Amino acid sequence: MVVNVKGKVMQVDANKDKEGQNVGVGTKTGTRNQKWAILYTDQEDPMKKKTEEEFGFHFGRPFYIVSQMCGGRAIKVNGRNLILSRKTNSSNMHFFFDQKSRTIKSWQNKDRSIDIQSSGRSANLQVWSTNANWW
Amino acid sequence: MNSRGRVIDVAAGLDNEGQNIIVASRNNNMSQRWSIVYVDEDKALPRKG
Repeated sequence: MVVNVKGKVMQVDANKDKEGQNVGVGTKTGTRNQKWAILYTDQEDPMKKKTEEEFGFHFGRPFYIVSQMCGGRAIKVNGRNLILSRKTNSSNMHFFFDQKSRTIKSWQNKDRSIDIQSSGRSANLQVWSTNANWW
Repeated sequence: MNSRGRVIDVAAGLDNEGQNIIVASRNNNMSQRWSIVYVDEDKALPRKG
């Protein structure tokens, strides 16, 4: 945490992990929006050093996300929504892991990631322009 | 699983064509279990050529 002399800590306002979100100060809560790492510019980002094994995915290699229910169906991009469907070789059923954003992206539309609708407040999953991290 | 403990789930646990995909609290049902199958290792689909 970065604390000033009055005990206020630097935080991401409203606890929103979004591009362009304001940074301010607040009372210490210990939540993740108040936790920071100091990265010296002459040091490499440690996240870039994480291996495929640590992430559990090969980087940039397309895959299906297959349900273990009886039908053996897989996740398919249908517009922006995600549905269960019979597995075909179509790119709307292919996904890949992007280590830079640490998100699962659509192979069909590589600037979109699997995302929880309404900035994480909904239960629905969709693909959306990659803007931050997996909620 | 995401940082809030929610997992990818099939809505209502129904194994139907077109069934919606959601996130939900973990309950270990089959509707929350998934396999990652790399396209170049998938043997279920016939390949051309």
